[in-house]
Amino acid sequence: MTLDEARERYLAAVLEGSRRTAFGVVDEAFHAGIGLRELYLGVFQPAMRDIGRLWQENRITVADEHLATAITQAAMARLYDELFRGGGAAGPLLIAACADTERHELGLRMICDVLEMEGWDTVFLGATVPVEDLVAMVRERRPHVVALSASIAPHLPRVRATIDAIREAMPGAAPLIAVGGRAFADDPGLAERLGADLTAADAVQAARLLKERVSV
Amino acid sequence: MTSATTPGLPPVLRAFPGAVLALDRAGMVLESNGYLERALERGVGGQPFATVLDPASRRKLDAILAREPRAGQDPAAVPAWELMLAGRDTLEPRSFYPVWDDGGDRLWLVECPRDPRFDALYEELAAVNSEQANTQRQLAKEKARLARALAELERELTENERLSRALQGQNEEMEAQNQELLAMTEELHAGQDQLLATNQQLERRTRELQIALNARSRFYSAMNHELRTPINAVMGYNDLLLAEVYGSLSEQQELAVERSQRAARHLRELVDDVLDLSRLELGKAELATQDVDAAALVDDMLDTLRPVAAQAGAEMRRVDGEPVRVVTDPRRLRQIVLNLLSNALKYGQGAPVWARVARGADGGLVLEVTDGGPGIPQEDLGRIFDEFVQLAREDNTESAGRDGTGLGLSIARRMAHALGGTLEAASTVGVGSTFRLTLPPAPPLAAGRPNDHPRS
Repeated sequence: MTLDEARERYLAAVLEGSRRTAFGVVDEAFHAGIGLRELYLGVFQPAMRDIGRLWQENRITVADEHLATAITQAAMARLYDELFRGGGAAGPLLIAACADTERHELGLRMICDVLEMEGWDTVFLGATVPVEDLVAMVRERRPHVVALSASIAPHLPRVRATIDAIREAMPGAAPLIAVGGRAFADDPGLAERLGADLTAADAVQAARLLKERVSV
Repeated sequence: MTSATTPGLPPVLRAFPGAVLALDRAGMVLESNGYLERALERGVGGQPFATVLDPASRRKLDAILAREPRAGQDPAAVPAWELMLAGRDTLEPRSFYPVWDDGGDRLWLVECPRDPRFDALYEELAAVNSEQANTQRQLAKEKARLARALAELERELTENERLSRALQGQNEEMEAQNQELLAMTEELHAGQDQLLATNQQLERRTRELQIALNARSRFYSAMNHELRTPINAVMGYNDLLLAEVYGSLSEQQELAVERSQRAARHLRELVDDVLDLSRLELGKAELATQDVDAAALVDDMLDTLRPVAAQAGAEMRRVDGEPVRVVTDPRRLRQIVLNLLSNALKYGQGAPVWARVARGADGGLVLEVTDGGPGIPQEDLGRIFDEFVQLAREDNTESAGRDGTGLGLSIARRMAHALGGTLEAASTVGVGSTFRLTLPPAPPLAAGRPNDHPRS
């Protein structure tokens, strides 16, 4: 099975809403020698991008998108044993939190997983983490990077409040703060205006930029 | 909320449970049934509909508006269009059926209403799904961490086991060494016990010996008193006989009495010597010290023995006169010198005898008596100072053999020791013998005790 075949068959499976078929495609690809990173960057990420494009083209509904997201989350989760196996976790620490509700957190989690593959130690807190809890954790664990995501504009004030709270709590010693998500896609200057250090469009770019900025 | 857009709408649309909007071809809201305004808490009438849409939905709206009026449905597209509507702090999807009016001037958007609890259900399901995925992620990560910790633990355990084995080896080695040490200690104890036993034995023997010595000394002094009286009586009567107090003696009688007298004198010397010896052994030899001119004392003794020397046909003189004065007991010194000179004459067989007085390194006296006699074999030199030893002589005549008691040298040495000095002999067979007496300038305080050895 080639990577292209895997991506097409996976997309078809999630559009069909069949998690069993989707898992089967992933297993088959994995056993055919397609690595985790390729699965993430060559199957899951493009499939989800296609889902967004199909919604844009009015070919699918939000319900289809939900289903595809849910299946992909589960497909990724099935690979976690493989992902964390043998990881030394000695690399730079990244703490990630999602300013949205849960159905938008997939992109950020994908970035965390890809960084984990590259030797980072990542803590993915998901959605609905109170700001003060996040700040306390950052103060305690002193990560190199805090990554925040928001997919819709109404959640941007929350991103800004979180950034301000971290910078206030650790003056002069705050970690690198990265932001991303659909809410930042159409406004290149938004991340900087919110007080973030950097933003990225996808997992590959995020990994590259963070590697450039964080030297351990 | 704008009510200006509602009056034109038929009542049925105003009562419709969803948003109903009429847009012009540019996307301006011409009419609304008011539903959207209530939901978004903002007015939409007279504004571009795009102002309440997110950017992606704006592009979708553009796509709808760009379609030719009356154009057929895209069979691949879903019939309703989903647009994300931005409220004050929300962004929620709503589905609309796009319907163009007959003139193609107005686009009616009729919402396809759904039970809002479906949205809640979606959110809830998404939350469950995400939570599960996140939990799985954390679990997998924790599992990996635990696996690493376990591997580390196993490695440590293995290392500990290895160390333990090494320690055990060392322990066994130490145990063996310990056993060895214990064995050695036991051996030492055994040796110590043996030494103690030997020591006790020696002490016992020393005590027994002391008792025996004391008994002997007591015996000597008792016997001396008992012996002296009859000997003096014999000698007295002999003198009277020789003085012919009891009538004249025939030549034979006179010879017999003289022999008897000689024997008696010898016996008395013997008794005197034994008395001296016992006194020395008992520590009763009290010293009467005074300043003594050693050379003068030796000359005096030479004079005394001149007749004996003449009788033996031996030349006897003092050489290298050097005035040496020491504080000592002159009676004891005389006794020693007399013993040495008479021995030299007795054993020298007529060979010349020299006495030499010199000053010792400590300022004391060195007195040497040398004879040119046959000398004493090396094996005999060591025992001539023992009691009752008389060396055999080649011309072992009767008189020579019985002359002397065999105590003289022993007594002389004991006296020398009592005076704090030494008496040694050196001899070369065929050349002669030298007896050397040394005395300190003055006797040490402890001198005079019988078994006291001289300081070397």
